[in-house]
Amino acid sequence: MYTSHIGRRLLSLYHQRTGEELSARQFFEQRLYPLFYAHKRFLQWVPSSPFAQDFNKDEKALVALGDSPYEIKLGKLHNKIDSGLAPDASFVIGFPAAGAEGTTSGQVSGVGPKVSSEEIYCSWIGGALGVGVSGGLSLLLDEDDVLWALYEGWAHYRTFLEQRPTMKGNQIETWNGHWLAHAFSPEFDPAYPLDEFKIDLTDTAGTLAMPTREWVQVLFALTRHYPTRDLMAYVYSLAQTNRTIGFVPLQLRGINKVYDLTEKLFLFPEAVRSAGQAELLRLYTVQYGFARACQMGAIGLAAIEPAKLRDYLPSAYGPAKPPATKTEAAAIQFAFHQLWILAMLNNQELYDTADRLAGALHQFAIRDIGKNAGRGKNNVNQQVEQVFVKHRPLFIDKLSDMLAAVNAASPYRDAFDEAVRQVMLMPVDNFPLFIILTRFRYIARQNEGVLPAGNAKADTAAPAFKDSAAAAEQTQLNLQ
Amino acid sequence: MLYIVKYTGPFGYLKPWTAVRDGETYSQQFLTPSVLEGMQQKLGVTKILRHKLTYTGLSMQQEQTHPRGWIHEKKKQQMTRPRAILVRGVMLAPELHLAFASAEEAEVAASQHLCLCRNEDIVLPVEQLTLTEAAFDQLPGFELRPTVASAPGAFLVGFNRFAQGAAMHGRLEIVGNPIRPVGLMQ
Repeated sequence: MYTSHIGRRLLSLYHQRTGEELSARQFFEQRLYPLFYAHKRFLQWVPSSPFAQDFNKDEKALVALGDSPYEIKLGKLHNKIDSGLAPDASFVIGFPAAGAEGTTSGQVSGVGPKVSSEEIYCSWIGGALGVGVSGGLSLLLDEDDVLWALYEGWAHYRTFLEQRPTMKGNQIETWNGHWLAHAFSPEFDPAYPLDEFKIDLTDTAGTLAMPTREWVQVLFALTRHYPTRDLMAYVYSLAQTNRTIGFVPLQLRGINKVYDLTEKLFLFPEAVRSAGQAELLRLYTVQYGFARACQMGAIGLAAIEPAKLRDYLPSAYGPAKPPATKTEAAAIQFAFHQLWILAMLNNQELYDTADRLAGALHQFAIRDIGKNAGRGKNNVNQQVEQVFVKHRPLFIDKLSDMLAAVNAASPYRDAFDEAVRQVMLMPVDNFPLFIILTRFRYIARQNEGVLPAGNAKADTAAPAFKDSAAAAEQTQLNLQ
Repeated sequence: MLYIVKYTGPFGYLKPWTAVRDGETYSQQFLTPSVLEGMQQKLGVTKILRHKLTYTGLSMQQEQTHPRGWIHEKKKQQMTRPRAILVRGVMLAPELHLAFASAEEAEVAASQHLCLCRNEDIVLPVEQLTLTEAAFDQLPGFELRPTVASAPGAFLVGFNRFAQGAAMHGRLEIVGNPIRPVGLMQ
């Protein structure tokens, strides 16, 4: 299957980079087997393969006499491959189950090619090059640099595992995900490859295991390495039954708009800005699982929508949530939300418009704060929150009402005019994003009003949020 | 000049050739040379020169599968076939543009329906266009350009049932956003 193709690619890459010409069988025996299977803990577990099966009596006797159990298993694999059996999943990675009685046998095409033993060894090589991401899926990437980085990572995985006697093995795909993100990160130093390499191992009853790398982090790593290219990934999962997502385009040029956030750092709280781009991006969390993102057809900017962004729009299930920037973590998420919207709108002018509109709205809300405190202030705030609606006509309606209330005074008139002009020009899909962005900027203004800029303190910020929360709820009621 | 027929339908599903032991399979997003050959034979045209495929999203649909073979249960003295569940990611509202070399062939093609592999996934002709090759290149969508295995970006897309199971290679071209939006934030 596709694993054979990737295996063959690594083989020719190996030939090209080292000058050493190995057959697939030689590569398997000399490079892969000693790392993966000639140890107590394997790097990869292939269910029902010779490496996963228990010994029978005769073989146990041989082991007792001093034969290497791993060599016996390797011999069994060679035998199976040489025997001319129709290839099946027990000794070829990614192939169908044997026989016509398995419940999935109906999916096997009758137009099978003749599979050579060379190809079977290639499938073992390719099967070890899957990059595991969260959601139980793996990616095969047909790219020289990726394949070579993964190949070099194998040996480090063996070292890493041997240094930790209580760690479980068999996690090659998970390792590949971590390793790829590390090898393509700015800290990576080929001379000291394991420096700065951090994995938070989980401990279950004394057994250490690697958690899977977040898929968006693997994408960021790829984006760093290929900022101006789009890649193609083959996405799959091999288990009891397989999952085939198929070929999914990775639109890294779109993702690069978020990755390259150097110019947008001002959105982040001052305290964390110095942490740098790589550290900050580690905190990026996405809304969708990888399989769900693949359903969108291509993994681009839209697929890496930050988690919980939709909570800030009124929906059928409840009122919009007021954005919170009280804690540092919340403030960072708040910044990521704005950043993603900016990248999606791909237009600095729109950001400025939203910001100016938010400013005007804020002015509107506080214009007669001295005159009547309490109830009156709440009403005005409420009126402002009513602007944040889902549909354009209502939005323009609400702006007109406000404009009438201030007799079309000049700063308001200009800001509102500009907003309406932009809203009419943008594709209708972008309108909700624009509204969320305006709302975010408005909340940011409110905070600035309460606090000295750039020095957010949770307790002092609280009243503003309470108001806007109440107002948001009120808006909902009014809309229904 | 290319003579183009546009087909649309409610669903489309193209089985990826690597889907063999699956509990879940997403549709492939492009037509392989053997699929095009099948379409040519169905339509009765000499050659489909190019294609572009777009859709609005994937919908997961469950179906039941049987094995090909029967199992003999000795105790019960009966033959059975166990059942299992397969989840397919089916393309919603696929739009397929097929390009022909002559107006006559396009005319023939525009009078017939097509199936995207499964015979329940009918797509019907809705529009005929005449475009230059350059204009066709600009149409958004997925397209597999058949190539030799050694070409850059080429990958294996299956084995051709019309050519004694010969390996088929191609390079996937994506223009614009091939997933037509149906409203962003609903």
